[in-house]
Formats: sequence, C-alpha cells, structure tokens
Amino acid sequence: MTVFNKVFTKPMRQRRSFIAAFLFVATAMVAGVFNPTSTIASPQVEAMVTKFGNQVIKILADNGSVAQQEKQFKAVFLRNVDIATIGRFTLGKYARAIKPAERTQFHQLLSRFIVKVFIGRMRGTKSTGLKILGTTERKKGRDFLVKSLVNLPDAAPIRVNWRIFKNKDGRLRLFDISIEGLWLAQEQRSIFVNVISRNGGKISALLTHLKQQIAK
Amino acid sequence: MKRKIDFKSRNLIKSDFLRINGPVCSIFSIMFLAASLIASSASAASDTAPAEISEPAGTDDINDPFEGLNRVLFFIGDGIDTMFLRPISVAYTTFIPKPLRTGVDNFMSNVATPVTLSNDLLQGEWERAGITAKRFVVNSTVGLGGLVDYASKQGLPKHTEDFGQTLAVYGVDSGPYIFVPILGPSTPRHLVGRVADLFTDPWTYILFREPLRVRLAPTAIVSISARGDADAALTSVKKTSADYYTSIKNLYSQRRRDAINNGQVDEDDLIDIFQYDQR
Repeated sequence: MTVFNKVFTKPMRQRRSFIAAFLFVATAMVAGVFNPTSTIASPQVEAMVTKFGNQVIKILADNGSVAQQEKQFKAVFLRNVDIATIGRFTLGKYARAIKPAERTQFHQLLSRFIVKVFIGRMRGTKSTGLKILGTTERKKGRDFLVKSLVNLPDAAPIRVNWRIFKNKDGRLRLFDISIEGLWLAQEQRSIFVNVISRNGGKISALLTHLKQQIAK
Repeated sequence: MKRKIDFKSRNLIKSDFLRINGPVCSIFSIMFLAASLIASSASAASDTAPAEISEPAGTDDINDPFEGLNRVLFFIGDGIDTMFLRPISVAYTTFIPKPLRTGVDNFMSNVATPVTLSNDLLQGEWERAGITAKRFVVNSTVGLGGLVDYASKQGLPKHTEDFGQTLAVYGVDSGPYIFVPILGPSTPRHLVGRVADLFTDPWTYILFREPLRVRLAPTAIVSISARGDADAALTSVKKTSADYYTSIKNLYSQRRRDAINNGQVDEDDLIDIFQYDQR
C-alpha cells in the first residue's frame, strides 16, 4: 500500500489539487469579468441605458397601432425593471398592508398600467437619438444616476434622467425615469396613495381603479 | 382632423378674449384674499401639527390640507379650461402661424427680462444673470427688438426665474397647495412671488394708466400661448391619469422643484431605492 501510495496516489492528489486550484482561479476570473454581482461600473450602466433608451425611441417612432406599441414596449420594459421594487415604492405607506394574493395581481396591473401611461404620453415622439451626459455613482456598484438628453429634430432636446440600481438578485434594473424633471413613478405613487387613503386604506380599491384605467 | 375649428369659434376668440378679462380681475381679488387667509391659517396649523415621518425626501407632494376645497376649485377650473381657455388657446395655435406665435413669445419674454434678471441676482446666480443680460442685449438689437431669439443660437439659452423661486432659495416654505381656477396650481409662496414680480415687470409701468383689462392683456397673451403649447401634454395627462387632480398636484410640485433647482437634480432629494428592494 505504501509503495502504491508513493508511486501513484500522491502525485494524483497533487494533480487533483492543482486542477482544483486552477478551476478555482479560473472561475474567480470568469466571475470577476462576467458576473454582474461583483463589479458594476458606470460604462456598464450607460450601456444598459443606451440600449434601453434606443429601443424605446425606436418603438415610439414606429407608426404601428397603440396596441402594437404597448406590446413591444411592455416586452422591453419588463426586461429592464424590477416591478416588485417599483410596486413597493408606489404603494408608499401601504406597501406593508398588501396581501400576497393581491401582490401578484398588483404587479400585473401595475406593469400594464405603466405601459399604457407611458405609451399614451410619449407616443409619436420622433427622436434623433440619445446622448448620455454622465453618470453619478451614488453607492459604489449599486446605485447610479444617469443623465441624458433625448434629441428632437426640430426642438430643444428633452432632459431625461435614469435611476439604475443593482437589485437583490444582482441585476441592473431601472427604478424610475425623469422627463424634464418629472419622475414618473413618483407621480403614480402620489396617485396610488391618494386612491387608497380615500378608500379607507383598502388596496383592493386601487386594484379596481387600475383595472378601470387599463380598460379605458 | 380634430384641431379644425369652424368660423364661429374663430369669432369667439376675439370677443371672449376681451370678455374674459372681467372675470379674471374679480377672480384675482378673490384669489389674493383666499391666499392670504389660507396662508395665515396654515402657518397657525403647522405649529401644532405633528411632523410627517417615515416618508423619504423628495417624494412628498406639496402639503394639501384643503384637498376638499381644492378639488371643488379644480373641478371649476377644469370646467372653465374646457369651455374657454382651451378653445381659445387651441384656436390661437391653430389660426396664428407658428413664426408669428414664436415672434410674440420671444418678444414677451424679452420684455420680461427684468423679472428674470432681478431674481437671478437675488439668488446670487451671477453666471445666469450674465446670460440673461447678454440675451437681452443680443435679442433687443440683432434679434429685432426681441422678436427673434438670436441669443439661443449663440449659446445663450433661455431660462426664467420668478420671485417664488427666489423665496424658495431663501428657505421660505411653499405653504399648502392651492388650486386657483384660471391661474392653475399654486401655493401662497408662488402667489406672493407673482405679486412681487409685478414690481419688476415692465408692463406694470408701460400700461400704468390703462384700464385693468388692458393691463391684464400681456399676462393673458402669455397664458394663452403657454396653454396652447402645453395642450398636447395636458390632454395626454388627463387621458392617462388614474386621478387627474392628484396628477396635476404632483406634476406641479415636481415642476416647481425642478425650476427652483434650475433643472439640476438635487441629490439629497433622491429616493433611497434599497428600502424598497426586498425579497
């Protein structure tokens, strides 16, 4: 046994540990480069904003029907936002009062509603492109404010600011967008809280209200 | 085309434009009375009211303790807007050619330079004051007495300031939200600012001896033009909002904050996202 060990097992162990070490280092390197959870920097965030922004600009300039635009925008929107986080924000002080069953329905209604509001307001905007002005890293690798201009062919550019964050799952997501200084989610939060409080704190009242708005 | 307006409503512009000045002045006086009453009662109330907690900075609308009354005034204001202001302003934008409207807008904003300049200076915004002064010189000369905004093409972009913003910079609280029919969303601070700005507004002195309806004409022209420009935006907000009253209040709050910060993001005002990212 001892001879066997000396001749065969030891080098085998060494080889194994070498392979293990190599794999460990390689994984760490690959993770360091590709894993979004480790190092997110401004260029990555700006790339996301540019991509998302240009997709939206393309959809808005499209001459298709409202329903078509809503469908296209919804697909892009859901890929770039964290609806649970936006949902919790827009419910304000009522965020804790929502029941799990209501929450799923709320998230569905919320995304449909935001899509409808955004397309309803921005439809027909013909832009010649998005220009990133700069990014402020508010919390290292986690919280970013991207400032940009959306150029128009025959008017002054629109000021658009983006709040991008790294969510609990380690993904880059859009939290809110401001157009000429007006944050969209903040407006909805103000309405949602008002609707709930005028209906005796019932979240079901908001859900009914949103359904009516979507059906309009 | 929905925008097409028949000849009948074309007459309406002229006659109602003048007729509307009557109600405007009476509403003005009622408004100031109401504003001063609201301002005094609000300051008394704020001494005893408990401080709002748990809501993060930047998300709060202007305080609205008179929501019931405001909703009634908003309903009236929206009615007046639908029946008079919107048709007048839409007719204005439909019938007056764009170059002429732009000329009028440019001319009016050039005349109003002292309002913006004095508030730039009062806020210690020397660079912006310089831009305002340079704009006035360039546009009054090369810009044919203000009709052409030549300065904007020369890297001197337009901005406006008012005394309401100056008060905000000095740390004066906005006071409660008040909706004033015809004038729109406001606060005591904003209304006081509007009155104060009359002192630096050249029209006050140019039209000093004229009857009130003539003195109000410049404001009416600017308002009609602005209402016309904002029409598409307002219509879409009305159509897509789950609560038009609250939307207007929130958008007004945000717009004023943006104007006070001169279009810069106030980093301290941003929401802490991570308090909402839970699993």
